[in-house]
Amino acid sequence: MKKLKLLHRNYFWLVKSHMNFRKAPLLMKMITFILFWGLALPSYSHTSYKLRRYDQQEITVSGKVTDESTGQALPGVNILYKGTSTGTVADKKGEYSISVSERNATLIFTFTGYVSQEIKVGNKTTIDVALIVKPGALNEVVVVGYGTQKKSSVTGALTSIKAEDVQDIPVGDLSNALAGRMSGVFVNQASGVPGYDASIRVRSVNTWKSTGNDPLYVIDGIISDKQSFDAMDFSEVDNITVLKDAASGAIYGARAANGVILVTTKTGKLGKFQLSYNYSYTDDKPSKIPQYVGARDMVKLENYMRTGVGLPVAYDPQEVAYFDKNDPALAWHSLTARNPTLNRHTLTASGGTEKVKYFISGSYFDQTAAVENVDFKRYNIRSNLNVDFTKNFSGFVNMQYSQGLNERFSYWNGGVGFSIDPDLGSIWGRTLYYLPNAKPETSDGKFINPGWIGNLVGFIEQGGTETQNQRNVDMLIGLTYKVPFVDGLLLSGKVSPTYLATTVHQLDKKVTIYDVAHQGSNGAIYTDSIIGSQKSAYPSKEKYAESQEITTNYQLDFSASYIKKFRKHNFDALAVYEQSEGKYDYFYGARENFPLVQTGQFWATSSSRTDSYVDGTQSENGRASYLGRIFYNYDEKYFVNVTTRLDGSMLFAPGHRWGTFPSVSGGWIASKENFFKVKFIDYLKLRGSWGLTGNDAVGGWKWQESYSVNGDYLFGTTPHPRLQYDGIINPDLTWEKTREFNFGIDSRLFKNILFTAEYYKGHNYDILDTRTVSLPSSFGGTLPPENYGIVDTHGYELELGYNGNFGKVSYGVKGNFAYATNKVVLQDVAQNAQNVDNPNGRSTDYVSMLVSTGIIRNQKALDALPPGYTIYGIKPTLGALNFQDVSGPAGVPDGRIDDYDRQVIKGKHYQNPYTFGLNLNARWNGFGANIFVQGITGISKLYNDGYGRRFFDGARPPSFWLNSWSETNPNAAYPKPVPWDYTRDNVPSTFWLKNSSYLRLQYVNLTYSLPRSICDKIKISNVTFILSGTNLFTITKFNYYDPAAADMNSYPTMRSLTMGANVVF
Amino acid sequence: MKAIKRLILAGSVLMLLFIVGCSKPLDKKNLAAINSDELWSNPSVAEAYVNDMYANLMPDNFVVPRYTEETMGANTDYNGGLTDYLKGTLTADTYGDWPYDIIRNINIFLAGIDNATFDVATKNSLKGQALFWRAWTYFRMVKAYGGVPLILKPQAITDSVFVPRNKTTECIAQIIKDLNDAIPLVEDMSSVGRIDKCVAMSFKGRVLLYWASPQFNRNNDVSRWTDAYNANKSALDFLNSMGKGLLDNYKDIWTKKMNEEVIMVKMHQYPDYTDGYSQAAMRPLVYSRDAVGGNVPSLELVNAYPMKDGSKYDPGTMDYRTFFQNRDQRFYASIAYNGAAPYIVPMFGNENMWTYFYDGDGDPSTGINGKESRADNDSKFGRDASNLYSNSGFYPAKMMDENITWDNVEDGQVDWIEIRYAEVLMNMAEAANEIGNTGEALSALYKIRQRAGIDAGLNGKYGITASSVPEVRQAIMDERLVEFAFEGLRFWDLRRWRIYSSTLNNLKDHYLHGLRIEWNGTTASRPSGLTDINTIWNQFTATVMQDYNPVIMLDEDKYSFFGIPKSISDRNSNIQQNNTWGGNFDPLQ
Repeated sequence: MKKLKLLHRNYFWLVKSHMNFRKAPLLMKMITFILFWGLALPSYSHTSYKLRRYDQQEITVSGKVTDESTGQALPGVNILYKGTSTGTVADKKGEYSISVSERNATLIFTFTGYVSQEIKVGNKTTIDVALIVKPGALNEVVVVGYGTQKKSSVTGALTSIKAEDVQDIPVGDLSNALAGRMSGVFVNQASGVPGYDASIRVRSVNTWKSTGNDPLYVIDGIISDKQSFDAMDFSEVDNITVLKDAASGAIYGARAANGVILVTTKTGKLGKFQLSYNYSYTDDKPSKIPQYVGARDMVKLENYMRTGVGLPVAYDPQEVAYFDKNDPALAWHSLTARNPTLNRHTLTASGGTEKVKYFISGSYFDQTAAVENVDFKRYNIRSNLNVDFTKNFSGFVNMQYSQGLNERFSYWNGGVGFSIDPDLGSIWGRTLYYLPNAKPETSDGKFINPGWIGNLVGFIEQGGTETQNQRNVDMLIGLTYKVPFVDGLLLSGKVSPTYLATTVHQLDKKVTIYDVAHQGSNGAIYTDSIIGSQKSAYPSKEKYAESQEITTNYQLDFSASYIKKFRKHNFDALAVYEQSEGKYDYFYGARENFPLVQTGQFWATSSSRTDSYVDGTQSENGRASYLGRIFYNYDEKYFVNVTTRLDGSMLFAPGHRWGTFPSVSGGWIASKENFFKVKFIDYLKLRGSWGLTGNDAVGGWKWQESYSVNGDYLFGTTPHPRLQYDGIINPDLTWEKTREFNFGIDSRLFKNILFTAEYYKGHNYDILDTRTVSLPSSFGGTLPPENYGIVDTHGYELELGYNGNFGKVSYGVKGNFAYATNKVVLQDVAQNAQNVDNPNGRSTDYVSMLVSTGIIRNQKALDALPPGYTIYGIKPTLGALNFQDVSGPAGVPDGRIDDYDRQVIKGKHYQNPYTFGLNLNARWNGFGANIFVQGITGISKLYNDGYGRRFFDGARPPSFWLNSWSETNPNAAYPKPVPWDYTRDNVPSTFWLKNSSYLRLQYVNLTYSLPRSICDKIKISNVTFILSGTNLFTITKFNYYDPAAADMNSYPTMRSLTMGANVVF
Repeated sequence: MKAIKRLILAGSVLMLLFIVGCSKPLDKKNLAAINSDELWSNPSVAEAYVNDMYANLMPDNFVVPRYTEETMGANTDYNGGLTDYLKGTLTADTYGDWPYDIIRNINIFLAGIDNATFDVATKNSLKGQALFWRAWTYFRMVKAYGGVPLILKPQAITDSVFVPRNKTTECIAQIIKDLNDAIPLVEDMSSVGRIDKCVAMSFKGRVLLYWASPQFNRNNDVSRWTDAYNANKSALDFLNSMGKGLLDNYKDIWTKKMNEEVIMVKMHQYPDYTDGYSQAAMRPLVYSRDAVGGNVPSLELVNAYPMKDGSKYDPGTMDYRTFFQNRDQRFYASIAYNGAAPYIVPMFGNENMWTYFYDGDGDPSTGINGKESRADNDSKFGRDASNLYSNSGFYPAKMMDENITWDNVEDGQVDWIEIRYAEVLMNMAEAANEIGNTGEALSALYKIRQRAGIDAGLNGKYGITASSVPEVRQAIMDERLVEFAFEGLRFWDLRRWRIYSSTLNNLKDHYLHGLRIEWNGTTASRPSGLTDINTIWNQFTATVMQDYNPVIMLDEDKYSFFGIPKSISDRNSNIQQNNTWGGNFDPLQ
């Protein structure tokens, strides 16, 4: 009922314009509605309704009403002659004609979901109007768990975006598209590797654990996972809503403690067949390449480092002279580096009659990496079909297929696995520093043997391939029955089988590498003269392997909903039974050696039994849930929502399986009160909520005693199986729980300013974790997870938007800001632990390390150290870092720097406490601009590089080592370069802790839509061109590498330039 | 029509309800595990549980870390090549071995095995093996730290778990008790590497020898030596009765599987079982696939091998160009030196080992700048990466898989022999000497030397001149260094004799050494292939090279008992630190 109303809301305006619909008795309304329903539906192509005119004199004004953003005609827009009851409605082409009595008459253009416009007639007889979509319109409908709700009725904390908001952003997955757009939703993109998806966190981290923190993903009402979420193309997505507070999430009960991300896919809309095509091309460049010294400086630094500790030099004068002029090793990077590109094609078709509505989309996405032979492709097909079988009986079928294809060289991928290494085995970083003398190839392109490490270029180009193919088939079939004899009662059922298969094909090949003659007494100079060849040491065995991981699952839902309106009381009740079951299957097979030819097929491998091996595992899971909810409001002014969910999980022992997750929330639209007379506040709503959610992210079977076979042991010539005790069990294991209060304000000020604020306070208890340190090590064995931990969280979020016009330019500003923090109340702590190791009373990301007192710059400072002073057993030397000696085993300074001297570094965080985003957009005629700035602040990062903050001995050192201590440069910024174990300069200390806050111009997006006139000529509804730049620049004090990257050699994030076009037929 | 539609509708709804009614979504099975009842009813399952102890506890390590004078600056020119033990940076956190998770698993088994429902013979055999492994694990800790908490049953969380350290005497008593309990339960002799009576009795001898040694026995309580003697003597008697003994040829100990010398063993096999042992590091890098510096013999070790006539090699008077002449068989079986006979033919080809330097570019003005291929990875293309790989000029030949190829250097099939007959014999000899049975000690030494191919000499003493107790003690110490080189005993021997610091401090200039051999002839005439080193030795020069960094030893007490790491004491304030590391625990009690 509700849905129908929405779809046809346009027609209400027709009626409303000449009769006061709202005040009509219910019966009248029904009759009018049904009458209109009958009139409107059969002929969508009705001509414009010329409504009764009071007077036919003077001026006739006509024109066309369009959507400002899409340029498309807006049929059904209501046009009112201000101060009279005269009005008209735009026809299906958006055209209208109205007569007014005088020149200074004003026309009011109103349309649901759009900002009203008033235009003076003046001398014009043609007035074309482009209406602007209402920003975050309060009367819009938002998706909530198990249904939708008018935004004005929402009492919890949620935030949402529409597909249009992100459709022009050139990223491969949805996660990245969300970055910085929603307050309280944190997206961390640590790597730009194709096919690697950013992680998403909602609000504060509420546990110290690094796993089980993912929000719950729900796609079209089916509980899903991050993998399926990332497999979607955003052309399929209608909107994404994030349930942030516990009250909104409680309807998802046991898995909602980390927030819920609801995705709704597009459905067909009543109307003619519409086809649209989108293409974009992106050119990427690494946003930041870490700086390493050139060969000249490397040679000098290396020799200085070695002579400094009494070792012979690594480069003799001939070699020094050579590297003064040559830097052959730069080719490791230049030969393997590529400028990545993205290509994306999307084709969607949609439309519908009153009986059948359809949405069909297909997309293709192809992204290459900054290293050659790494490619990611994704194909998506979706078909969403809604059918009304009879008056009371309707159904829908959604089907989607997606395929993600990762192809890459197999070197250093760590065997066959399903996780996409976000770092490509650090290979991108390694090409910058790993082999500083050797050149990769002879001048005629033969791979040079640079020693035991092997030839990276050779491995990338000829070392075999690893192909990961992920295929996902999801179906969703639902039936809805409107019970005819009980008004407002709706029964529905749906079932969703899903199938996810990941296949990995891995071909490992040895590469032929050539020995060349060297020059220089250290052989540092590689010549072109070949004196031999060999097969590379890596891989140890040439092999072909295939593995397959299949997850099948289904979810089944039965629900009954009942909507009742009784005077000013509005009830909307829902009851659902839900169950799901799944099975996981893994199989791996490999065969080594290729007797004939090296190709990625089993027939090509050795058929000897000793050259092959297989492996596999299986597991099952199941869940069952009951849930109920009541939305109640009085006069659309006072709102109360109550939900509860009973969740059953096989992860826990019988008797501990069922958990109840209730929530209650309320809202009050104060601005609707008669006494509310604050002029500049157009709308004000206060909300409050309390809810309980859970988290069951714990491995299964921890409640049941078991033993498992774990490898074997050889007796004689026969391997005998080994059996391992799976550990102490905990039959009392149950959910981890989070209860949270949330208070929110929604308001509209000065007509165009939208303001939302949230404050929350969460209490996460019964945290499931293994206590390890509070028992002595002599206890032995691992304890099972227990429900014991407590973490408190709190934070606030602000969103502020403004939309306005400046002549023909319309513009909008939207900012969001979030603060999130937490505090551990109860976590396992060792009995005899130092205070610095006690996590209790501290945030989960508190920083503890040595406090550096800086470099020991002169002999005086060295002599001032107490006799016998050591730093982790090593005597301090000139140019080394020194640290504060604050404690020892006896609790007092002991003249030894060791773990006892670590301190809590107050005010520092590893996770971002403050995040903000700012979005600016402007439109003028067909032009549009969209700018997005994102920042995080209050965060620190422990600098790290490939050699763990040590001097890069034997490799190309980072550039900052040029400013390192020496007797002639005693005031240098960095310590004296020494071989890796001569000092303990590298231990985590405040010296290496750097502020990694940043402000990033996330993107600038420019669009241009062809004018109506041209489109009409070429018989195309709309053509839009897109030019977009992503990750354009970053302002940060952290200048070693991208502050979002894990470390110096991580695969970088990309700076992109995208061109594209969108054509609607 | 309508009726049919309704029927279909009703039917499909009923069908869905049927599906729901039939499935029990929460009723699932753990597909990856074995039910706990099986452990106590199925002897194969119980045996598999005990097999896990073998996998967790049986040593299988061929590569001796740089703890002793056996190896020289293997692969780096930094003192990183030396361990914390040898460069004076040992701290209480350095040595961490606290395997109570394994002890718990053993205790679980010992607590339940008596009530198992399968046959008594299997129960006894498995129980004996588990008792042995518990003794083994406790001894591993006690020899490092002194007394440790004695936990003999699987604790519940509700027990008083903050157990303090037991006295060392209590721990040793428990270890001996477990072994005494195990000995009658295990089989007499296993042919497949299970713990048998031979192993348990021999190990008991080893434990009591340590207990009698100065590390634990500062007042030289002779009764402890007597206990050690008796245990080793009865072990030997039993071994003899089982047909165990010294193998004729020293080299064959690691080529003949399960020969009569093998007592406690970790078997390795490849390729039909992927449990080969990596020997990669113990050869020139070019043959090793990414691993270097394992067991590179130092000149100190090389010099310790006796001459064929049993006399000592005297570097003061002898010529390093001929050091390889007239040594005992153990020398040739253990050391790959410049000109040594082919020792891994499938990999190296049928060529002698050449590790010399020569004038690589044939230009006398640039001096000796080449290196023969075996000496170094890169030398065959004229690169002298002298700061890598073997700086001593030697490689290990002992315990190498003779059939290994370049492709499978990680997959050696040599078994790791943790206890062999010779050790029991030497253990007995050492204890015998301390209780005054010098003759018995010497005759054991003679047996060892006889097998090493040393001439008996006119006096039948195999070159041994020792006669007093201290002299024989020294002779035994010297013999153990070479007899058991790279077998993982030296570090623990030096500690138990409390001569670790002094031995390494007595190195010349506090450095370990190697030899640099240079070819003095022309580049073209340099030796290769099977050229007999004995015919050309005088065309080489041999220079003693020292390691890049000196050995810095701490006080002997720091080594006798290691400190308890902070990570252990943090979790239990009842754990006292050793008195040699600033605490109150006396490990001598």
